[in-house]
This record gives sequence, C-alpha cells and structure tokens, in this order.
Amino acid sequence: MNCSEARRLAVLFAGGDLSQDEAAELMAHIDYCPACAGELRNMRVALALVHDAAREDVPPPLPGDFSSGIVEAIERGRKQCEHTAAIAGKFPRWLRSAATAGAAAALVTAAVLPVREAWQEHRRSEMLREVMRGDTRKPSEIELPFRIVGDYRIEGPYRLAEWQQSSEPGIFAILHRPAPGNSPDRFVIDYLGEADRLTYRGFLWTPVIRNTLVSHIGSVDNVYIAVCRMPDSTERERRTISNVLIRKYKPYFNNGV
Amino acid sequence: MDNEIAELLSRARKGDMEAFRQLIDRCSRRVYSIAYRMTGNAEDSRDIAQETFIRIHRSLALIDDTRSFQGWLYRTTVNLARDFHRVKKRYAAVPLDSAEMEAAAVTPSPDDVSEYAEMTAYVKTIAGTLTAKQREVFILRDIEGLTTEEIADMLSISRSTVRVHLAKAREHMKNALMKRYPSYFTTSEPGGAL
Repeated sequence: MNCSEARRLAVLFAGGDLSQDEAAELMAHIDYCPACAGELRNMRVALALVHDAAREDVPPPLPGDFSSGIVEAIERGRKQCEHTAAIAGKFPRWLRSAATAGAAAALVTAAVLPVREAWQEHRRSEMLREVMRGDTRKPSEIELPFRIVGDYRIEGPYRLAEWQQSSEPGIFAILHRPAPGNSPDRFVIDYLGEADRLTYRGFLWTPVIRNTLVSHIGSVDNVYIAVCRMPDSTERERRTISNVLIRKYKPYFNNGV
Repeated sequence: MDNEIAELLSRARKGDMEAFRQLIDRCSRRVYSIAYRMTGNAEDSRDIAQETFIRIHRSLALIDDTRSFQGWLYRTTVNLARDFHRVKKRYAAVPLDSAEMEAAAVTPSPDDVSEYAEMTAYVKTIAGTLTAKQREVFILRDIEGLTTEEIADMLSISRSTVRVHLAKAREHMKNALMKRYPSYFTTSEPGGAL
C-alpha cells in the first residue's frame, strides 16, 4: 500500500468505517510510515473536535406538546378534507376512473387505507401529476382593484420577494399574473389560506406551495401575495372566511388538498 | 425498542392516533436533531420534524416493518431539509427573520466568546461549505452516528458513494480545522500511540 492509498483509508478508519481487512492493511502501512500515522492522528483530532462541537451545539428541546400538536394537525386536516368533499358534492374521481389504467394502484391503496385517506392520497398524486404535465385549467381570475374580504382591507398584491412580513394573524392569497405584458392588473389566485402570523413560515412552509406553486407559475418573480391582516381574529374566524373565499375563487392549489 | 416501535407502528396503521403520538414521542428527537444539523435553525427544524411526521402518517400503510419505518422517517427528514434549503435559496430576497439570519452568518470572535463556543460556530460554518451530499453524509454519519449502510439506503446511493462523500467531507473539515486551530494538530514528526 502506498501513502496516497493509506491516507484515503485513514480518513475512513478514523471514523470506524473500514472493514477488518482494510483496517489491517492500513495498520501494516502505518506501522512503518510515521507521516501517515500523523495524518491518521490529525484526522482523529478533527473528528473529536467535530463531536465536541456537536455536543456543544444542542438545539432547544421540542415543546412538550409537540406530538399532540401533530396529531391534532392530522385530525384537523382530515376534517377539512371531509368539508372539502362535502362542498365538492361529487364522487371522488378515483371511483369514476377505477376502470382506467391507474385503477389498480388506487384500488390497492384503497384496500389497505380507509377510503377517505385513499381518496386524499389519490387526489394529491393526481394533482401533482397534473402539475407535472403542465395542466392548463384556469383558476378564477380577478382584476385590480379588488376586494375579497368584507370589512377588512386588502394589502397588495406585492411581489413575494419584496413583501414585508407581519407578525399579525390574517388571511393571505398567493397570486400570479397570467399575462404580465398585456394585462398587468389581472391576477390569478393560486392559493388562499390563513395563518396566525403572516410570515414566510406562516404560509410558505407547506407542501403545496413549497413543492408545486413556484414550478407551476414558472418564475419566482411572478409570485405575488396579497394579505389581509386580522389582528384580533381567532383561527376559526380566519378559517371560516378563507373557506368561503376558497369556495368562491376555487384556487387551483386549494383544490382537494 | 424496535419491538415497541413495531407494536406502535402496527396500531398506528390501524388508525390508532394515540399509538402514532407515541411513535412521534419516540422518534422525534432524532428527526429534529437531523433537521437541526442540516438547517442550523431550531424553528425550521421543528417545522421540518412536524412535516416529516405528517407525511409519514400519510404513508403508514406502505411501511411494513420497523426498519423501513425508520429508514422512511429519516429519508423524509433529509429530503425535507434538502427542499427547505432549496426554497430558502430561491427566496433569498424574501426578508425572513433577518436578525436570526445575521446571527447565523456571523462567526463570533474569540474576544467575545470562549474558544470552545467559537469553535462550535466555526465547525457549523465549515460544515455549511460542504456540498449538499457531503454535508448530508457527514451529518448522518459523524454527528448522528448512523451506519454507512443505513445512509446508503436512506439517500438511495451505494455504500461506496457514501464512503467517497464521507472521506471528502472529513478531509475538508480536517483541513479547515487545522488551518484555524493548528495547536490541536500534529505538524511535526509524529510519535506515540495512535
């Protein structure tokens, strides 16, 4: 074994990542090569420093109700799905498309999951497939100036990149311009939601927006946000209003999600 | 431990939310820790951990044993943390919690804090300069202590690729640490036990 090979293995040996044979081969070299022995020692020191640093840098503990919060969020999502299904007032698509080529997978899923969850899964994957192949269904469009919530003032739309966050609760709409050149005042509502803080984390960190919205719209520069601050509102109030708006405007990314 | 998780998993698959809650209690620390090592931010890591468990719940029916459950869990965490990085980069112009970002970007000077704390911040900073794959492998192996087999399975790469990324990451970390803290390292003719 030459020094170059020994040093390559020493890096792995320092962390216990060599097989017995490789380790034996390395040690045979180290025994007569002080330079490689020094390399190994330095690598061990570096790893020890990294481990010390990791021990030092411990994140604050998770809140005590972390698991309960997730379970509640899942239950809430399930109820919301029931609500959405009730509004839609139609049979889930997977029942109608059961004879198609994708039916086998849907039925297998339906056999092992409760029906509603299977439906949710199917709708979600269906939506993603549609987005992937560039579905061109038009969500409802609105023009400036617009009012979407009774007594509350709408702020925006702002380009998302220029938007100033707010720590207040409220409702938000994510929009884009379908034809920025010809109709700069025309916007499409892509997603409507509520948040207890109108911040990046309050709305952007959702699977829908994160994974599909930007790719669907095509450019980050064409993503806009309009917000309606509702300082003293409860989540229930905001949810009620946003559900009404979702029913009215049918934003593409609220559909079946 | 594995038997308990298997039992909880089985109950959770049948719709027992209390069992799923207990599964979260058992696994959340590791998930949160991986997310934290990858993002460097506790609040983001909580979001990632929460999203991980919500996704896992959707996929429960497809997970057939404890091993695949844990693999799935950590893989989802890594993927979400990776996505998070990507989104955060795309939205770099969005004014996030700027104070928090500034704090993360500034390496404390030795005058302000102990060398130990400074070194902790420095290790974090240089880990952030690794390539995405190197960082993931390095965090999972050298910080979280997963095996190279587990990491290969989790990241859908071969074990030898894991070793290549790991070796490059360690070499990078070592060189940076040697440059900044030469007194800890041997530069003269070595001697003594390994």
